[in-house]
Amino acid sequence: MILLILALSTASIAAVEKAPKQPIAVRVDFVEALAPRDTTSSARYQQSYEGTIALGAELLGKKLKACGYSLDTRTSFYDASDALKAKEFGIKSAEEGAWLVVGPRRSNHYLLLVQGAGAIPTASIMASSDKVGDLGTRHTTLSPINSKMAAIAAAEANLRTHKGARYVSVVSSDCSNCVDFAKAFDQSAAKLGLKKAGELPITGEAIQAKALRDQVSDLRPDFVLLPNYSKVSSAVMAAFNEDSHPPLFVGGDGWGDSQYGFVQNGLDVQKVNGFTVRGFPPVDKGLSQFNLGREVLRSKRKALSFTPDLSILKIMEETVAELCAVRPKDRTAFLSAFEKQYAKRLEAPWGVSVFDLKRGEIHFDKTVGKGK
Amino acid sequence: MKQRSAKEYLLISWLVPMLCTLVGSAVLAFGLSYLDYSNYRRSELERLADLAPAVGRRIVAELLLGEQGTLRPVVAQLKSEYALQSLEIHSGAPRKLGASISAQWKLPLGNEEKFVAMERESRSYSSFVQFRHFLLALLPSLLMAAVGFFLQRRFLRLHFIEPIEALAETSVGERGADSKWPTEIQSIAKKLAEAFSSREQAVFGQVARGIIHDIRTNLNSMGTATQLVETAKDAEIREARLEKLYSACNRNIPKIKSIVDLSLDSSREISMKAELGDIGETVEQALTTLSEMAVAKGVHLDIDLGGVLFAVHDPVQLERVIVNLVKNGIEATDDGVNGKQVRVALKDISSGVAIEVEDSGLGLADPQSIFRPLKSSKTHGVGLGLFVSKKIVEAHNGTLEPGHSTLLGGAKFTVHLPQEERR
Repeated sequence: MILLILALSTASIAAVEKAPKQPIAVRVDFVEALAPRDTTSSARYQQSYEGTIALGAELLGKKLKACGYSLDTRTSFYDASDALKAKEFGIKSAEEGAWLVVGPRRSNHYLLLVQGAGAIPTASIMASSDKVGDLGTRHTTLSPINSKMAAIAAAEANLRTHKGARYVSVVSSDCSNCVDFAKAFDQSAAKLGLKKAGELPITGEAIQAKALRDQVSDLRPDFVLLPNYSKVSSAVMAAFNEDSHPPLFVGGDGWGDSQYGFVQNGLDVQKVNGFTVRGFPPVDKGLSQFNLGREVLRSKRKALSFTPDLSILKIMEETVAELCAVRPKDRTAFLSAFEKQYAKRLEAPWGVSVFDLKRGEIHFDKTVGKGK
Repeated sequence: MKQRSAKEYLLISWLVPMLCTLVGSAVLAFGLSYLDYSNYRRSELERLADLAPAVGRRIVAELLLGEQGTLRPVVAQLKSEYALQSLEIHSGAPRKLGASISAQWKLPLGNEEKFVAMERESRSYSSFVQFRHFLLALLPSLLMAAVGFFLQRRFLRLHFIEPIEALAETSVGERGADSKWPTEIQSIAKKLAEAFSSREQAVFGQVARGIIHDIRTNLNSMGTATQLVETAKDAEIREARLEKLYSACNRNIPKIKSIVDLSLDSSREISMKAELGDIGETVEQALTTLSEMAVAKGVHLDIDLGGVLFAVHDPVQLERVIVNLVKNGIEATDDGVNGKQVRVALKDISSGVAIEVEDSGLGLADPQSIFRPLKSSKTHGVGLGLFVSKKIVEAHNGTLEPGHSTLLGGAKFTVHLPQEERR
């Protein structure tokens, strides 16, 4: 009888152990802002964004399943003119049980998302303001922070001009990221002996380019710091296109590139030269630097063209790797793991890239440093 | 009061509504402008109210980020982007905003009471008072008025002007009332036709009586003389009666001829044979034929012909006038109380020649009606003498004016012949 009982107990334990385990659903929310005015590129961006998530989920599916997890991705887009939405989505994600929130590109939007997400770990695909770097261990960004990019930009400007070169800053005062970059640049430039001849703040996108050009020319700079987005930057540069000796222009992660889109609005910038720093290399180069990226390149399943796609895949790869390594049972355990090691692996994995502007086009030059 | 034609009255009757249309259009234009202005303000207020949350949320985002440095440029950008006159963030209770287009929105900052107040400059009412509104109101009104004027003109011409013009014809029995005419005008036409008919009959009777009486009297005289010739047996007596018959014929036949001429002249245009001649001679010729009558009636004829006055006139016709006036004067003295006197004076006046005939009779009871045909105070007259005299004088482009004789106390008639006719 005892033997019978023992036999039945053993058999039932074995049966329980052999029963397929239900995978733990890991909810990852993706929140991104879309520019309301540029609907065509916004639609293309949204399409690529969603396609990249689907591709990553598919390529990582088997591995994740083997580890006992499944990804529950939710994507939310909102109008970029309404930054407050980022906070509201952060609150919503936290309330609905998201383990991780992948935040928007823009630093101010990401900072608001973090306010809403509370204790939930977040990662921005591109945010780069210094404040983002100061958010602590629960939050990270895949872009190098502004001060680091600004330091590299200053060093590069020093390298491309001469000792004691004069520069003028033309900064969009309504762009907090641009203002931060300019400040950080000034600090680094001062250390390098570069001399600031003046600062000309601008507001909005409709600028008086010709008047601005005259003001800049009066200050006779060797280079002009233009840490603004490409539309404004190209408008300023175009005003110098007919000058016999236009100054060198230095960008700050806002100009875009040939793949991402250097918006010139039909303006001619063929004769001006410059360079810009960016937190990301060209997409293909970035993909080649991590396993999932290489798999995407090999599979040729999708031609990725937007830099954020790099970040999305990298975040997904690292999330799956962490889940399989740590096997957290719930999001509290996941948060702990995120804070201890996993966040660090997401910090600026591609370093700072330098792009040249020549004959109206932007081309990758080199990568300078990796990590925060 | 100035006399106006029916067309002028018709025009005035349209000018008044036209003026009313202009005033009405102006009032309507102001009304439309105000409506535009109200719609503009309402839509602007609605737009601003719709805008307030978007603006407020952008400000909240900046406040939450603690980006005080960028709040100011963001506010400046929002002001420029949405064409705002002012954009203020304030704490505490909602503010009372100015009269311009404004909106206020409570910022979603949890327990913190903060508001964003926005104001946009409003266009003034005067900028909505535009000439196009006036034209918009005026043009259709004018068009309608023009169409109305055209239709009314046609309508009134057909139903009022033409019937009224035709009344003249109905008043002389040349046509009757038309059933298409307004009933009032038909009634007037009927009354005019009746009056004409009765007057025509009366005139006919009166003329007939007067003429027949005068002709019969003369014929009787000649008839008696003829009978006396027939009954005379003695040759000498017969010879003497034939003389009387001859004399009666000589006297009465011109009278009958005169009665017939007067009757004919009253109903036809005066036939004139004007020539330059001595007026005094013509007057003298007329008085010669009347001197016997004056003597027979015991009337003293006072004649003052002054100097020789020449004028273009028809001596025969003018003589008829003088004869008629003097004869009337002689006959009027029968009833007078100031003695029997008739004065005839010829005067050279600045505007031409004046022939004055005045008597010592009772004078004229109704000077305005004496020229009406068939109007006579005499028992034996047909009442055409003065009517024909006036026609003759007017045919000379002159005037015949009745009046009162201050000298003799009776009637006074003055014939004015114009200077143009003098030599």
